[in-house]
Parts: sequence; structure tokens; C-alpha cells
Amino acid sequence: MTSFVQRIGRDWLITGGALALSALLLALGGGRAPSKGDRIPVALTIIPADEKNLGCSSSAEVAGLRCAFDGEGKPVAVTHPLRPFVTLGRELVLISNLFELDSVEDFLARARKKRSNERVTLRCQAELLGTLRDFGVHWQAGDPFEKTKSASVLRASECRVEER
Amino acid sequence: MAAETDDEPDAPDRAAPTVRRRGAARFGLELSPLLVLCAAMCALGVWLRIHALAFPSEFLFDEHHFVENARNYLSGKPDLNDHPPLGKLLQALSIAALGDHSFAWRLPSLLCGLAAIAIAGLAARRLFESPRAAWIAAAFVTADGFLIGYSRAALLDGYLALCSLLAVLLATTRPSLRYVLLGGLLAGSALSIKFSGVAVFVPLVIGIVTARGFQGRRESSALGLLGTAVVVYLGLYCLGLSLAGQPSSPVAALNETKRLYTHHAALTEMKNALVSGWVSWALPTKPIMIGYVERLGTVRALTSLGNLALWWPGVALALVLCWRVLYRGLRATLRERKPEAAPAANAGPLASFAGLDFSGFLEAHGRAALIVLGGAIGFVAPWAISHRDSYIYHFLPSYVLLLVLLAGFVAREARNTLVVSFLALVLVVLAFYAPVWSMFETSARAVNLRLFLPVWR
Repeated sequence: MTSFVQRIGRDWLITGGALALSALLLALGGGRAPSKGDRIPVALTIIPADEKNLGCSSSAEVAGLRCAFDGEGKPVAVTHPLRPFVTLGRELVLISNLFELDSVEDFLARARKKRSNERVTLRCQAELLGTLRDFGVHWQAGDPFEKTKSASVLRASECRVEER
Repeated sequence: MAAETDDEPDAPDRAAPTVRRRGAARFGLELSPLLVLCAAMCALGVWLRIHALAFPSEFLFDEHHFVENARNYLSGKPDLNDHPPLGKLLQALSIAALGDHSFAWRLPSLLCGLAAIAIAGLAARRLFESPRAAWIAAAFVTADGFLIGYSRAALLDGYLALCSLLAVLLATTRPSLRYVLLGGLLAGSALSIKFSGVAVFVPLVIGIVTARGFQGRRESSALGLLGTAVVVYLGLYCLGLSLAGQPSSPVAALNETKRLYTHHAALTEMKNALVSGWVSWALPTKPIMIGYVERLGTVRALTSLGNLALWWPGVALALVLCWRVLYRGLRATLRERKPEAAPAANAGPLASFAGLDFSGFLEAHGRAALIVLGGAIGFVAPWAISHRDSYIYHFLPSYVLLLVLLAGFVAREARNTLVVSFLALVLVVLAFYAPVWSMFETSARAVNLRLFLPVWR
């Protein structure tokens, strides 16, 4: 070992080590963008009326999920349709089954009982399923669909409702 | 300015061979571990400045204050910001040339940041008469996150950091008419960016007062410097007022100056969540998160936290050298000594520590250290002697000078393995912090791991 260090030179060895470690840190140290199948945290706000108002239109499917309206804006029968939401980071996402989760259903039931349309924050874990491209969204039932280029498609689970 | 070589050299590089080197070797370009590490830092640091510069396309931190008013200049509307016009005029020029988008807003900062690397190298080369110091200074400036952050955002403090380096570089040249004119141009420009730019006078005046063998009149040179700076400042202010469609006489510029000064003098509440007292900059306690964009599962962050492997040694060295200057006195610090002279028997406290020879450094480079420390103290002074709200970015023009000083000190160290190990550490810290200095797509956990003190987030 000593002769190896002497042959290479201690300073070169330190330099090589620093370069290698730096390369490693640059390649792996920063983490990576989430990919299909990853579970990621999502935070967004909803009001009870969103259940009826939020919708998207596209004939495409992502992981077997689709919008409640086809590409022409005509309704189709879907059990758990994708709905558009804007995250607290102001990012458009499409999520299925959000309103069917127990915690969110409980919140909706309480809100109906109180006739409240209060806004709450949801902090959820969601599985990233893919990306839907060239689709339409509307934020009020009956409104025309606004064209949108792309958004991540998620399946939500374990949402925590933060009421004020 | 850099070509002027008529100053007497302070001392040869202690670690450098005594034979005169030729060709590439003159510039320290012999393949060595030190050169490889410096080159790696420079390459990575430059890339981190350029990478995804236009992201995000929305405003970062305080960019709106400056970009909105750069737009105002272009549309003939008044500047509503509370700083003089030059910084915003530079942004307006970029927007006029390239269009109104985030890359154009930030391009002047990037160019200043890149220029600062070269000027730091040149200044160190002249201050410490050592190509090794030049390489190390350029590498340190390139590898620091505080400077990377301000090269990536349309903010004014990176411009001032360049001005402080230029002032130190100019102070290494012999006082002459050119010195006075260039110094005045520089000081007037720095003042036209922020009032705290007045600090560039400190190294410029030290350069005049301490110049060896200078036969001219020091008082008239200093007055010439001041006069030129006032003319440049008023000229730039009048230009700004004229573009803004306001009365643009020198009297109007003076009235605006008075109005802004009164406004700043009243900002003393220290209530903003980001304010930090100048003493706390040594840690620092409140680096600013210049940008933080959260997307699905990812975070892209830009912090102004510096390279900790440089920050703490840089601050510590400055404090020790200030103490040594106070202990020895200015005259003794400026007295020419042979660098190889044996240290005095009664060298006093902190003459050396762990083999680091502070006293010997000041003996060899007393004037250089005074110029650099003077500039650094000059930029901190407004916040130390007043109660004006202060923020970590006010430290940037001082900090960049501390890096040059640290480079001069490190370059003089004879234990090459120690120097190489230190540079290796700086490079590794640079690579580790790269994600939060260049808006990499990363995770909140990775950001928190790097900004390990909660007050840094």
C-alpha cells in the first residue's frame, strides 16, 4: 500500500479521490425525478363542490384510467374518473379516486350535513401512473373544456384532511 | 490595467521555485494536482452558474424589484425601486437586446459572476505575486455557492461584488491619471448600483496612500478619484432619470439621491424575517433561499449559503489578520521585509497556529492584505456603524475579497499535501451542494440534508 501511494504520489491520490467522490455526488447525491410507479406526496386544496364540478376530456387512457368525458367532450361511463387539481405548488395534476377515499368521503359527508362549502387542504400519498397529453379541463360542470398540453396522472391514497 | 507591472513585488511565492519560469509554466500551467483541482472547481462552478439559468421563468426572491423597474426604464416610466439606476439599466439593456424573459433578466448577473472569476485570479496574481494564488483565487470564487447564487439571479449584489474585486485589482497598480480616472469610473458606477458601493473607495484610497515609490501628490489623486466618481455617478443618475421621462438635471439627480438616502436611513426596524446583523454573517445565521420551486415529488432550490469549506476559513483568516494588523500597527504591516526572514522572537499572540504562519504572511504581503481587508471592512462598515436593516447579501462584496485573501494565504503554504487536501475538500463540498446552488431537480430531503441548520431553510 505504501509503495502504491509512493508510486502514484500522495497528492495525486487525494486529487483522484476528490474527483471520484465529486463525480459520485453529482451523479447520485441530488436524488432523481420521480418515475412511473413511484409514490410521491401531493398537497392540494378542495371544496366539497369540486366533486361535481371538476372534469377532464380525453379519449386516451393512462394505466386503465380515463376522463369522464371523451375527446369531443361527451360524457362516458367511468367508475373512478380522472379529475384535474392544482397542487399547492401550482402544478396541474389528474387524480382518480380522490373523492372515494375514506378520509375525503368522511369530510364530504360532514360538509353536506353542515351545508358547508369550506376549502380544506389535502395531504396525500399518490402513485405516479404516467402522463396524459393534449386534453381538456373544466373547473365548473357545464363549462367548455380548456385545452391543456400535459399533466401527471396519479392514483391517490392515504389522504389527510386539514380543516381550518 | 492588469498589464501594468511597475509595482514592486511584495515577495516571491514561498512555495514557488526561485528559477524564472518560461512559457505556460509562467502562468502556473504545469500539470499538477493543484492545477487539476482548480480546473475541476472552475469547470464545475461555471457550469453550475449557467445550468438552467432561465429556470424558473417567474421571478426569484427580490427580482421583481429590479426587473419591473428595468421594464419601467424601457417604457419611459419612473423607477420605483429604492436603489440608484445602474443595476436596473444593465438589466434593461439585456431585455432590450434579448427580449423580456428570465434568461435576459439574469444574463448581466451571470456575466458579472463570470468576470468576477477572472478578476479574482488577476487580482490575486498581482496582490501576492503568485500564479498559484491566481489559480486558487479563481477556483475559490468559482466554487462558492454565495457567488454562484448571485450569478444566477437578477439581483444587484453580484454587480457590487465585481466592483469590489475591480477596485482591489486597480489598487495593485501604480497611482496615475489612469488610476484616478478608472477608479473614479468604478466608484461612480458602484455607487450607482447601491449606495453601499461607496466602499470601493477604501481599497482605491489605500492603493494611493500606501503606494511605494509614488512621487505624485496623494491628496490630489484621492480628490481626483472622488471628483471623477461624483461626475460618473451624476451622469448615470441623469441618464436613468432621462430614460424614465423625469427631470434629469444634476440637481434632480442630487434631489433623488437625498430622497433615497433619507428613505434608507429610516429603515432601521430589523423586523423583516430575513434580516441578519453583520456579526451573524460569520456563521451565517440567515442565508437567503433565493428560489424554491416544488413540483410533484421534486424540489428545485437555490440557496445563498456559501461553500462552508471556504466560508469559515475565510472569515477566520480575516479576523486573525485584522488582529495581527492591530497588534503590529499599520506602519509595521507596511514595512518591507524579506519573506524568508526569521520571525521575530516576540511575534505576539496568534502569530502562527497549527503551522499556519499569519505573521509571516503579513510580513510578505502586508500591503496586499491591507488593501483586501480594507475593501472587505469597507463593505461591512455601513451595516456595523448604523442600525440600517442588513441582510446576508450585503456581505457578498466583502466575502469575495475574503476568498482572494484566503487564496493568497493558501498559495503561500509550503506543505503541498495540506494545500491539495484543502482544495480537495472545497471541491467535494461544491459537488455536494451543487443541487441547491443550481436548481437541480432534487428532493426536499436532499435539500434539508444540505441545509442542515433549520435557520438555513
